[in-house]
Amino acid sequence: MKNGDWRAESVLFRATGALLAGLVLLLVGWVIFSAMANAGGAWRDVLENRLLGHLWQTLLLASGVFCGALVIGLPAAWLVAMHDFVGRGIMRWLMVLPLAMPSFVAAGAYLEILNGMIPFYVWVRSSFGIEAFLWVQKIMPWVFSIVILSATLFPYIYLSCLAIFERQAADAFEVSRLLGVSGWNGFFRVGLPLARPAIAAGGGLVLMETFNDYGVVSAFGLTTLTPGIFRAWAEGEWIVAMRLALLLMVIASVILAVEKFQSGRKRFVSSDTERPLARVPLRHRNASGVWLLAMVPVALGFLLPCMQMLEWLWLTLHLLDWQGHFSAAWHSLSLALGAALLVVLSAAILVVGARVLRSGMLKHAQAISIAGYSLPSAMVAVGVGAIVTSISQSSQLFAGLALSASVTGLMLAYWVRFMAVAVQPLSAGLTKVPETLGEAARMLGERPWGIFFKIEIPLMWPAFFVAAALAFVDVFKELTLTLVLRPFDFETLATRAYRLTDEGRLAEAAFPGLSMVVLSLLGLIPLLRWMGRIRA
Amino acid sequence: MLRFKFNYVLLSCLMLCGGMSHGEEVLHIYSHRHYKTDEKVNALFTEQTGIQIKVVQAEADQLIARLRTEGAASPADVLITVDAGRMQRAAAEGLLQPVVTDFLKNHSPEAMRDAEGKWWPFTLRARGIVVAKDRVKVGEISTYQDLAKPEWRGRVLSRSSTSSYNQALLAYMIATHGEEKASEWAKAIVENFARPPQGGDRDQIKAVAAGLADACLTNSYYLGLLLNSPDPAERKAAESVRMIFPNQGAGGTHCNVSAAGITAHSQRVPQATRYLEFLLSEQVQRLYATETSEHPVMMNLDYSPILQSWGKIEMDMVGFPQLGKHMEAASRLFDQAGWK
Repeated sequence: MKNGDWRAESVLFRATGALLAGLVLLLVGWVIFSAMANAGGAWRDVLENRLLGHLWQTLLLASGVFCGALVIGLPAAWLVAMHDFVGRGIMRWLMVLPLAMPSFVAAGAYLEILNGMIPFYVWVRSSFGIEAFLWVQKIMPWVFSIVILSATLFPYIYLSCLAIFERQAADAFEVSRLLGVSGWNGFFRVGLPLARPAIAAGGGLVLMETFNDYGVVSAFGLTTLTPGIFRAWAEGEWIVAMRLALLLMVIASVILAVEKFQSGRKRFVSSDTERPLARVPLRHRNASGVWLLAMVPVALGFLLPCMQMLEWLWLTLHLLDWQGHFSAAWHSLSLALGAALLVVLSAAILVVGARVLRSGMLKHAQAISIAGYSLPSAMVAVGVGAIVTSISQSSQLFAGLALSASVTGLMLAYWVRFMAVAVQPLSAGLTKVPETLGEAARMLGERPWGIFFKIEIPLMWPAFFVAAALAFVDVFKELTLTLVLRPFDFETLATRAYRLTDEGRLAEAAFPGLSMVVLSLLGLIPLLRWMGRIRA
Repeated sequence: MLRFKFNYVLLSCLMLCGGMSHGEEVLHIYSHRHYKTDEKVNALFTEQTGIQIKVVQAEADQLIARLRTEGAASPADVLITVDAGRMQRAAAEGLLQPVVTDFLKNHSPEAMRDAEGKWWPFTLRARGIVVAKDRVKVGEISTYQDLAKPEWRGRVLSRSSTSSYNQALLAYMIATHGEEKASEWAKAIVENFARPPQGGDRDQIKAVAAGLADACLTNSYYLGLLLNSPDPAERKAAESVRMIFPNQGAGGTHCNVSAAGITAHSQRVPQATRYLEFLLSEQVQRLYATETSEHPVMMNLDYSPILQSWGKIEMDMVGFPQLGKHMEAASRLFDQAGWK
């Protein structure tokens, strides 16, 4: 049976692919085109006074957070994958907990600690003089920002390295043990080189999240590129905002190109037979040390902020604006559920459609949609904002629809930004489904929708859960896009927590903050179950 | 998925319908203010007039951009900001319409309102200097320029330059002393910072009380809010500092306003006018004086013991009308000075 018999389905699948890819290309094109307009004196002011600061702060923060996340995540994955010790199974899951803590929520909790360090600063001034006092004050926000971001983002590196160590590198490790290379020697000579693609993949996510962060850097007064883009946008200097966004995109693209280059080496190290590795038992003394070390990042990235927020919640229960909080929670849930469904369904159309219809066009659409993830959030925000504002201004009819600040614009932005989060797990899940099943069904006369719903999707069900869970949690925690594009008087838990923190009402921010953590944890359950299914 | 998409289309349609409603019972306000007292004021207005109030809160720049985009389709009836400069800009862009009544004229100072009646102030706030009682002698600081002296290195705090309060302060400095002197002042203040700007005005006051610095720039009412705080630690911090109103007898302290104006395309002008007059009523002026420690527009200090303790303030009248004109320059000078 030829593709021509599947004309209707083919058109629908291809149209979806074209729409998705078109959105990403339109967004990038719009930003580039807008950035070429005359920015007047505003760009000159930025060039002279702010651009260098934005650049070095962005690169310094990204380097610091990458190193921090690497130092925590990689050894943790190694120890959990390679060794047996009491509570290992629990630790394996505990290390993922910080993923449920949005960085900017943790920042609110740590602001209180930073403010509480005043006696220390006063002691520095009285002991070492004014210059030491000023220097300590300058570096403390950096220390806090890097620690918070490292402690909440290291699970990306931990998870990607864990997958390599547990599944794909068993042969290499067992051979190295037979040859007498084990322990830390094995880590540096075998584990580290094998983990390079995983470090690149996880590190790429860490860097993208750091570039996109707005809540943490604004809480501690840093002026990286993302707050710079926000500031230009808020001041009405859209061309400046577009240029800064393009610059951030270039930096992110370079990073991701390096990551792709590193990940490309995976084909030389991965084993087709993924079998579990036999673990080496740790002595009790060493196991205690491992537990102590592992708890530090989990405490910093999850437990301490939770405890602070619980204390604040207890103190402010009588002050809570329940209506406002529940309204924000409802908005967060409905946006996250809606976006997750939209993103997963679209990703399924692209991924499964590319295979079922053998469509090169859908494969290209897939690649372009994945590129949407590499677009900085601030760029997606100002790009979508500019597009919908221009449509609003093109006629009175559109102005009345208030497109410029509406859920529609927000959903478009989520769609562009988070497609990759669903495409990648679905692609990985699809590789486990033999192509021959679909071909057999086709020969027996089944239509593409039938193959889609009766064969491919049921066999990929776990991958759907993972994709939906990741998309849900990402959208649920999302702050940058939502701050710019949300309708007026429309708060999500994320924007509410940010606003209350920004207004200095740290204790009142505890309820929306904790709500986000609890709901993110629920959203992570499918991911954790998938981890458990792969390896116990 | 289709149902979700339909729901969002429906939501957008409902927003459109809500926006285009010509019902007389709802006044739509775009406001930068976010205090509980404002909710109380609105509830009182509804109770007394039967007119419902729907408030959309956001930063002034976003509200103004929104009005610009919406044009004649805007549902907003009233714009409220906490910065005269932004109201001046909104008026200059034609986003507000003039409204003048005898009540409004008789209950607001001429020098602090728009000449054409496009916006009316309803609270005043002085940008003063709070100092530690035990570390700063009386008379040691009397002007904004005193804070810039070298002996204050590492002893001064302020919030970020992106705050509209600081931008208005520097715009006032440009209007009264010129760009060059304002630039020198900003650079000197940055040299004297005890830490890079972080937090709001209340954080600066608490940091001064804790000993991190000896002086900070702050709006007057923030000290009042701390003095009235339910938190004993905040009250203690507020009692260990005192407020200075700079430049008394030398042109006056820079003051700003919370102001309200009727939007250019409002379909509910009579209701909006009633609201503006309500904001200037004695009941509401007393409420702001006692609950948020903002000065009443006619400087009725007897409304609040805290305001009485601060005494009468000579307000700058030269720079105030030019705040909007110098905002852009202020932002540029802050960047050049490295004031984050």
